[in-house]
Amino acid sequence: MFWKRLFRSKSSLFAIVILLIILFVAIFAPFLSPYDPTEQSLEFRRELPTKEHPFGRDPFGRDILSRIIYGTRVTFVVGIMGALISIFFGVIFGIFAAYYGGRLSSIIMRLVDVLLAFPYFIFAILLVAIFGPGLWKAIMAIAISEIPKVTRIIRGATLNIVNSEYIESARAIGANNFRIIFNHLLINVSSVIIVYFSLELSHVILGVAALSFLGLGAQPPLPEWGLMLNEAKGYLMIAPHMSIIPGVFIVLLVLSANILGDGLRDVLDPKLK
Amino acid sequence: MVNYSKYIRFFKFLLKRIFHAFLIIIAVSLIVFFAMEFAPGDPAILALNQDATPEAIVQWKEEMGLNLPLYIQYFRFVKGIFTGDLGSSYRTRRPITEELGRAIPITLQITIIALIISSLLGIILGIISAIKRETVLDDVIRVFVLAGISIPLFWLGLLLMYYFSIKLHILPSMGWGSLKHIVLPSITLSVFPLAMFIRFTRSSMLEVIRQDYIRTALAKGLPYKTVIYKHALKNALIPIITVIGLQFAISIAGAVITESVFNIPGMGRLLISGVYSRDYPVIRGCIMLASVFFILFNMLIDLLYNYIDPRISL
Repeated sequence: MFWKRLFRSKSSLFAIVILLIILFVAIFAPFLSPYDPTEQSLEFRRELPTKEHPFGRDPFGRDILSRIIYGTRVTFVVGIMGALISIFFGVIFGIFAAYYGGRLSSIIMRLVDVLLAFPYFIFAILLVAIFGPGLWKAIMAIAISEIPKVTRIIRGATLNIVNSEYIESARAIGANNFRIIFNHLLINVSSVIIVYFSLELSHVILGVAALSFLGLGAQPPLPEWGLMLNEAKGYLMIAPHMSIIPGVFIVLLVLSANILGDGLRDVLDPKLK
Repeated sequence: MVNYSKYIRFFKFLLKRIFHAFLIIIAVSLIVFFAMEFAPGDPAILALNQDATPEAIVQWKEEMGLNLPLYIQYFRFVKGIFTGDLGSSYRTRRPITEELGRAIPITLQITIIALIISSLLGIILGIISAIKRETVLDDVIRVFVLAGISIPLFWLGLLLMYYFSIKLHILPSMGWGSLKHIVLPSITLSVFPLAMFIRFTRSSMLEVIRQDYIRTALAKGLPYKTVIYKHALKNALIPIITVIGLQFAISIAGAVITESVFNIPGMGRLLISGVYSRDYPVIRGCIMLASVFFILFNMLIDLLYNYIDPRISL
């Protein structure tokens, strides 16, 4: 349907290719990775890049290339799970609020207002402060703190259609099963959902990497790229490669997700731009 | 005869908005306070150590006011927000207000400078990008914007630190004290909001330029430059005020990370060390304060927006 138009944009194509490559690496990580990502070798700590270790080694002597490769798995799971959670609940709350209106809508939107009163990311820190550090907790924390934003957007998008003649006529033909109406509504906001899925992907990945950098997310010895930066930051002077390389890959993945999101937005609804 | 009705309407909106902000502050305080209750672990055992005697625990709890019923603790907390007493740290036993008082100005300095840089530069570049749409300059700016929103703050900080501090030795890498210490953190913090400002200004300008009244002005024969600067700009800038509020939130969050990278003794670092040591009063105090700032800032933005364009209401 819209695939042809999407592929016409060079940058979107580029982004999709990058994402597919990273997905491929994530799936076939055990075959592609030259070494065990958690195997330490303390004699060769912080080794600069060589032929055997193209990205060098980290502060514990682990091969960075292998950690990057296995890190794609972590990052992918993080991004997709986090985006799914925030989009899923955001869509449910948003559509409910828009469709039912009245008191339910007020309650939901008041709750959204209160949750949005926390500066972005601070709410995630609060959740991690309560439940302790850990990768899954970090994913949940970021995803939950993104839900209010998505709810507001989906509600806005649904409100545009909910009072249209299209829905009225559906009701008139006798679609009194609310599920049918939700199908109609859902299909019409699906373009917004798709666009925001890729945007949430990038936000969640950045957010979890940030929490891991602060020590509140992924814990050692997980090869998460944000955590790798945290471990590397003390040795900036003598081994800068450890700090530079994981960041490059974070940027690559997030950039691709953002370009894809923009490309989808252009294709599905140019007005949104 | 002076027409006061506009001012009266604004005043009514002001009152409504202040009340609204007050309610949200109360709701936030409820969440912040009672959220801590869900945390596992006994704070007394965490603050003292594992083999503290039961008497020591009881005494500590009494000192900290933890043996009072929950709702009384909550009221003390809320009263403290308005009177400026946020309790004492579990770890250092010093009043938090004192530590926050030292930390906040530092955080505010970085955040405000970053916001000023990003908003001014962002608006200018956004306007240029909109006017010179489809040219190479526009493309370059848009690439920069995409990069800006994709680069993680902590990585950018490390890169800048490496280049300017370690390689070139012209700026200090860590700590706080002189004007030089402000440069790198502020620049790091400003990149993401800068990208967002450019993007938003650009789309806002483009949207305004498409309007009929712009076409009319051009058709009337007014020079392009006049039309842009006199008519389009004013109307395009108004929605940008709302973006400032959003970027402020992102900047507060970014400040937490930036302070961690550059080892700056601001509120963000205080918050993180509080999270590490499970120092609940510190966590509560920092988050509460950050949220109150944000709520008040948003209220100001809403008031400003309403003053300029009263058609918009809550």
